[in-house]
Amino acid sequence: MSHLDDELIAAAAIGERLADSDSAHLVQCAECAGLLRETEDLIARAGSAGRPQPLLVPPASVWNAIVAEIESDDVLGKEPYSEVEVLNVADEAGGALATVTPIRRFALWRMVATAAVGVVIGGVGVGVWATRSADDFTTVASASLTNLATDAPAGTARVEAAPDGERMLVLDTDYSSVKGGDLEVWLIDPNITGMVSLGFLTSSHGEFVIPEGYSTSAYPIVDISIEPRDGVATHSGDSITRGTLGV
Amino acid sequence: MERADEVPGGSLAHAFAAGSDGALEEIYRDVSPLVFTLAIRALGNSTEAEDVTQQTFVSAWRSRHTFDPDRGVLRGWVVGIARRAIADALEGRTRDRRRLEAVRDEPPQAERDHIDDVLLAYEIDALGDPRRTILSLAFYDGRTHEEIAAALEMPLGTVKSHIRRSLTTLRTRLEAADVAS
Repeated sequence: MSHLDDELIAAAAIGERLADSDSAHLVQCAECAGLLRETEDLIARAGSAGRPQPLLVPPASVWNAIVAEIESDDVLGKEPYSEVEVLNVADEAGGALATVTPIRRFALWRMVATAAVGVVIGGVGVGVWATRSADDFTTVASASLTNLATDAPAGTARVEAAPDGERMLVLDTDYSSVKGGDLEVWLIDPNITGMVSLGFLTSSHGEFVIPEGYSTSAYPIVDISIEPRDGVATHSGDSITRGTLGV
Repeated sequence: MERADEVPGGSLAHAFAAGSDGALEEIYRDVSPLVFTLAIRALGNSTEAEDVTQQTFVSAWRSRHTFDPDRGVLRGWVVGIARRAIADALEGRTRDRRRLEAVRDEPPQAERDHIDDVLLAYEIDALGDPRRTILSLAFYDGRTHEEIAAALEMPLGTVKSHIRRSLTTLRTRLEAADVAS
């Protein structure tokens, strides 16, 4: 006995008369009867829901946050993902994915061209600055830093520009080492959606090259965070010191 | 309006699975309003819905290796991930609520219905004309097949045939999103 084809089931769902043999099949076959019920439910659901509201578009910050999160994977060189990591991702989304195929290497993914916001770049060297004399620098912006826990002043940040246009963030701030973690220095945009890591702070004085393309007017917030040594490149959310750069 | 996966196993699905530049952006542009709307309807809160949307696409990208473009429909697969993210958000909220000893308790079934309604409307819209119009008249407005045939100046048999084929398509697409979850 062959099953009813989809169109016959749909026909039955909208009340069209079937051939006697087809009707007889529907009575006997649980599978076809199930499909018929599903189709009828679908019609009933559309009828009770009425004309739909238009879909809502998420704000642009959502896409920027996605790019930032994914880009941080790449910068860490997290390829290939291990099976464990993929399973964790699935868990975060609420339940394991049915199958996890063995992961092959995939190319470093670049999305900078399509959305140059929220890109996290780690570990920028500062060596180049050693070759220049301090007289060459001009201070172009500065900020007072605040200890976020106590609201107490926590030193200063300033942006210095070299004649060739290269800029450096100079920090003089409270410093104490963190057990099991590091202090990381960031520039963040006012919406807290895009950020760039400048590197780790290892003493009360730190100098960090600001990557080309990151203006301190677009990323004015200087942020120092405690980053656990967990291999996750994104901001931990645990900020201890902040200040906003102004001219 | 162009939709991803008009052709199942289409080039976008393959580009996505292969991790091509721009593939995520394209599927995001296409499916994020659906995901975001599903999340808002289920969670009633746009901040949480934004988080769910972000989580959905990051998870989809990170686990794209588990998506087989020759077997599944990319949109349905992404919606499946979104459903889990929404379920997680609701579960987290239930936990928080218990912790706060709040009294209100929303039945999960209601959330599921919201999602199904939005999905169904989306898929009806995605059918394109004339099927979108025919199904809207038949289902949302409760018009008879004869009335639709007259309104659209279309033979009755053609109207019925469009409805039958659309129902089959809808059932398959909704199953894809359901199975994926």
